[in-house]
Amino acid sequence: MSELDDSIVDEFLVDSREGLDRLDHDLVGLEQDPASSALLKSAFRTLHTIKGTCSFFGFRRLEKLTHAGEHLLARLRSGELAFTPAMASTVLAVGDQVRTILSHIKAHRCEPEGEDLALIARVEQAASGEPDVTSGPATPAEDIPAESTTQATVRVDVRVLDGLMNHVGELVLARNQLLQLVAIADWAALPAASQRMDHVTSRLQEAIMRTRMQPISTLWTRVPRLVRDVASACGKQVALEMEGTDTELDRSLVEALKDPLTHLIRNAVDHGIEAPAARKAAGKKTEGQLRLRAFHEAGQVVLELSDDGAGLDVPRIREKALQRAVVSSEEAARYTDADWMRCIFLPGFSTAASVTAISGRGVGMDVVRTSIHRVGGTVDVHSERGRGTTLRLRLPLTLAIIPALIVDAAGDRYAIPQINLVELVRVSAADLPARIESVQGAPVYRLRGQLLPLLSLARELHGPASAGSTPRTLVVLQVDNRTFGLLTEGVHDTEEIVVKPLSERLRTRTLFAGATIRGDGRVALILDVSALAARAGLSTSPGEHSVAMPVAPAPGVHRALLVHTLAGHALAVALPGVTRIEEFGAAAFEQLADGPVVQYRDAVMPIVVLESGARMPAPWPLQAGRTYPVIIHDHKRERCGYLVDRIDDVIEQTGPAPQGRVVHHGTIIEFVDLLARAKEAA
Amino acid sequence: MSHVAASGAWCTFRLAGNSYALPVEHVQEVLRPALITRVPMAAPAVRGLLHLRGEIITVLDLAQVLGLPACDERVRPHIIVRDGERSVSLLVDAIGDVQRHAIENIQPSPGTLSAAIRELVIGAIPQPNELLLVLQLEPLLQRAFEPQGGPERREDARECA
Repeated sequence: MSELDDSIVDEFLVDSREGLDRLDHDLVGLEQDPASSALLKSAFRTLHTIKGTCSFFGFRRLEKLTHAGEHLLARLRSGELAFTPAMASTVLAVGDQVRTILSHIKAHRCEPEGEDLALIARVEQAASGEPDVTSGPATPAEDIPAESTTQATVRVDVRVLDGLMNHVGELVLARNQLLQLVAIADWAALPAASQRMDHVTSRLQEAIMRTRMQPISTLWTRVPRLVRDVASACGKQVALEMEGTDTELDRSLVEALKDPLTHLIRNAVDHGIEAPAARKAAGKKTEGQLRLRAFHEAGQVVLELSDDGAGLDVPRIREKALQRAVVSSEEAARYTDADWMRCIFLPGFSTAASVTAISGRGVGMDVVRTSIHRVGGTVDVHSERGRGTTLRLRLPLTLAIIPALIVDAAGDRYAIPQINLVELVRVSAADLPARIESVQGAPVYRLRGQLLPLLSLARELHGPASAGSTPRTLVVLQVDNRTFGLLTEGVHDTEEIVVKPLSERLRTRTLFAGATIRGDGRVALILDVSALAARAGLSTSPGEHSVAMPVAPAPGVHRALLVHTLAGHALAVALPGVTRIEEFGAAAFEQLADGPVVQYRDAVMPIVVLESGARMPAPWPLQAGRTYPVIIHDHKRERCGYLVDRIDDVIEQTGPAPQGRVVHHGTIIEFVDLLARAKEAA
Repeated sequence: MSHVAASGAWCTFRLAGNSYALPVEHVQEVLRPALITRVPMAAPAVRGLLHLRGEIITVLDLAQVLGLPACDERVRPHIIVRDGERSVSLLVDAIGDVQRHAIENIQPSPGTLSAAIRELVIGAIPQPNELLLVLQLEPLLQRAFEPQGGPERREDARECA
């Protein structure tokens, strides 16, 4: 090969690889729908393009091979031949061989020696209309030399790029303005300029994020082929359904998800879905269902993989877990089915083939969980015996900028990713010893009647000698449905932080997922919550010392905010009616003709008395200089604020929905449901 | 990473009363004393992290790596060196000149050096009234990140109150 411009060859390699993925997709589609001329045309076009480029570069071997495949597709397209599944296998084999040769070209900048006579003969035989004697599934895609698909280039919509340029233009203007104001020392205009800078930066951030976003379909293009190969290798029939293919996520996540997803799909087809005979015996359709679903929820990407197979065999998992002593017999007594199912993520469960065969899952599930944790996500399993299994992955939208809570520990500031944050509980130093109990030597905190395992951040980081300052705030964290409390010496605001990687050399054995640069230019470390839980022995054994405390309470559990009103009454306010809680200084409340208001989020919000729901009467009982909590309630488009004296706690009631009153610590407290009240008023 | 300055130029600095040299090719820049954030549970030579133009840089106490008495990082300057794709900062007592010395001038390091230093020094350049010790970066960085003697986690550290 002559001196070719490397960048042109690289471009050809990237394009061809995308084309081959599409070819796989089209061919697997044709197997399902042999009459589709659109799919046939698309497959033909792809191979034709690759052939043309190969001939331009002088890649003779590739040209011959793709020519044979193109010829077969041309005859199919013109209707001279009818499509058969064997043909799909043949053309897939061509695609795989082209991939192998492309890998060689990528590494050595030339074609490998040799010819593909046998394969070409097979294609020509198929094209001549004779039945393919060597039929059978093409080499499973897995066996093709693993190629790093990390692409060095991205395609960006020109409109997005233009938008970016506009934002950068605005940023330059804002900077010029700022520099000029500083030069002439016009401090009065500075706040406006800084606000403008803030807006422009946010918009720029959003636009850059969009260039990094990719639809999840880029990850899913190879899934049909994978399912087909694995299914035919295990003699099963599997129908694949994909939902939410346009769900976008950061491209670094797309990369990180590739291997875990492949693993989960292989597992689902290989172990989850039963053989056709077994399905028939169980009264199911012989064809198994595999469903991939992606959607956005609460600022996260959720990826679900469900099969309608045999489900997890909890009794066998229990037996194996006890036998292998990964779960002690006293823990076992407390385990629920969900806890047992989570055992499939334990490292001890992964290597043993016998467990895999009977439990239906297993090889490397701990590896899957580790890779998901590494990108700040979580994974959970739900299964019903005989009905199937669902794996649910929750992932952050991006790894580059994440919302985080800033906390203090031993004089330093740390960032905790908000994805792990459940709630904050303020504790006073005097109160703390009374509320901390010990279970088997480990400290727990009693939160609304539930025992919460407790860690102290300062001690985890610096050892027992660091017990200098007093913990003030309990940060309740959750990772993989394990909840625990982290004692910190104070919390600051939540902010969006830019995640910077730590040096590779530092990354071993630390509790940090990275670092960020704070507004004052100093570095703050980002806590790796799952590493923290694992180090404290919390998440390696599901169920141990920990309470299952879902973010959304179980049905039949009612949560309410316990407050003191200005008139001195204790009231319980149903949590579902509480949109937000904000604090306002006494001076922020302004008196209008029809009652008091505050300015909130660029609008005027009326202030209402909690007990009666009526506007607050004058005169004001407020003390100057202190702040007051306001419970904000949105109903449809109406928003109002309930001014209270203080917020005491969150309480939990089980049973039927409280009517008018609740009993808390033996006292009867009036119960207010803002949602019900708003409906009545409407 | 070559440990000999191809250009024959050496960045010199002082540490615990001695002069040391690194090839200028490895040195990205020098910084004034700066605020750094400590990293719990890191190797003892890791003093913390520093923010430099959007990059997070690990700060190493060179004195500790060489087994010399450590001093206050808040008043010491940084030498920023390249470590592959990233940068690392070395805390030193004072930055010296960039000096030119031909490779032939490097003599075997004196046998009187302590064992800890000897592994990290490839030779010495005689100066009018002292020896300039030539350091090799890669083994130095390797040793700096070794977790020796770091505060290991104790299983009994679960009590909180």
